[in-house]
Amino acid sequence: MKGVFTQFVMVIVSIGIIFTYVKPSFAKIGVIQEESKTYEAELEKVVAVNSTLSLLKSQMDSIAMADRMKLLTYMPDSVDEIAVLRDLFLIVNQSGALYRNVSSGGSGSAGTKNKNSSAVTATGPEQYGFTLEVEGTYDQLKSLFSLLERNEYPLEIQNVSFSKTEGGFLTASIELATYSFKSQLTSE
Amino acid sequence: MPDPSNNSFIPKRGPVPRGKHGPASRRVYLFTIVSYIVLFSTLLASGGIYFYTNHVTQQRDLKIIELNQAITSFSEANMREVLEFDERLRQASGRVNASVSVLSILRILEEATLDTVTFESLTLTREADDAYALAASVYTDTFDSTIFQRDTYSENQMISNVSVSGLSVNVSEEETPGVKGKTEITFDVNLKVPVQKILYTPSSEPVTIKPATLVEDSITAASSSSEEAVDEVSNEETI
Repeated sequence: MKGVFTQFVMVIVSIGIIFTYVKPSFAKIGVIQEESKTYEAELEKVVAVNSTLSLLKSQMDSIAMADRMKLLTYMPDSVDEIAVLRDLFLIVNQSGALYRNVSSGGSGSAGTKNKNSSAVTATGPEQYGFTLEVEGTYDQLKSLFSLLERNEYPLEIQNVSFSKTEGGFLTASIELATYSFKSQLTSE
Repeated sequence: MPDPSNNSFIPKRGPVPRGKHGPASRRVYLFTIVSYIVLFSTLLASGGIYFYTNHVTQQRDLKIIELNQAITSFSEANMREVLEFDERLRQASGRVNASVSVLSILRILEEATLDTVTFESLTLTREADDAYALAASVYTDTFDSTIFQRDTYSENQMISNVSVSGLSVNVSEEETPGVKGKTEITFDVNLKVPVQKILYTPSSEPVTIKPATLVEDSITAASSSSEEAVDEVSNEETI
């Protein structure tokens, strides 16, 4: 009788251990394994991002310095308006046309009537306008346009007005636009 | 004499067979085995679960450490640099793809304009990145030239939205009696040239614009200093 009682107690204790320790432990192990899976998945994502960033950085660094300087010249951080006025003066002189006047219109406003340009958008570069007045023969003005379109940074012609003068020459009032880089990244 | 022990009225039982008490003692034995098995299994399972829980927890903690290390190794400065460079390239590419040769517009007009037609004035206006709108005040001497010029513009594949308006005729007075005066016909022409048809294509000729020497020297100095800076950064990264 005593032996049977002991055996009953053993069975009951076993059942108690199963319900109070084994079963909750299984549940806990399941939770820990789920967390491990989540961390594993996130780790894979982070590693992939780091790998992509390293690849892009190395691609960027592999670009020749000369090409990067050309890019910076074409799309600088800011436009030196006086330098542009000087370049326009030099271009006009080189074309053979007669330089009359040049003025800057500030960023994205005066000097350019092209308010609908896709460049003047929230995601596009910053636009700067200039107005150039010249006089010369038709061939000289054509030479001027040729030099303008071959410049190392954009000098887009937004508006040109030709008119005749008494001496048989042509006068041209040219509205130009150039651009600077506008960063879309917000500083944190 | 008969054995007095045989005189008892109590009948003697034969020897009891062994198998009769088997079922009762067999049930107890099985339950004992079962109870012992259950207890020991439970204890073994508890021990195994304890160690497995520790193992799984260690694995998770290792994953957390690796994740933190990977997050820490992410360089936000590199990311900003790459994003800025990419954005600069996109903006430059956008303007390059919209670069137009105004000279091409003049060549189109030269080819499409009759010898008997003279431009009094001409205005070119860029409409976004879509087209150039031309407005010209034109002079000619006959109606036939006017009609022919309008048709020539309309049939030109590089030109669209041709309209002729504001036509006026002026006949000058006879300078010599009997000789008709000169007919002057002026009209306004409006047309458009799509940007896609006059995109600028760079030629193989080198750029002839030479900025002032001082600017060239400053650009050269800036590029050499930039190269030195890039070399220093790359050396630091190697270290």
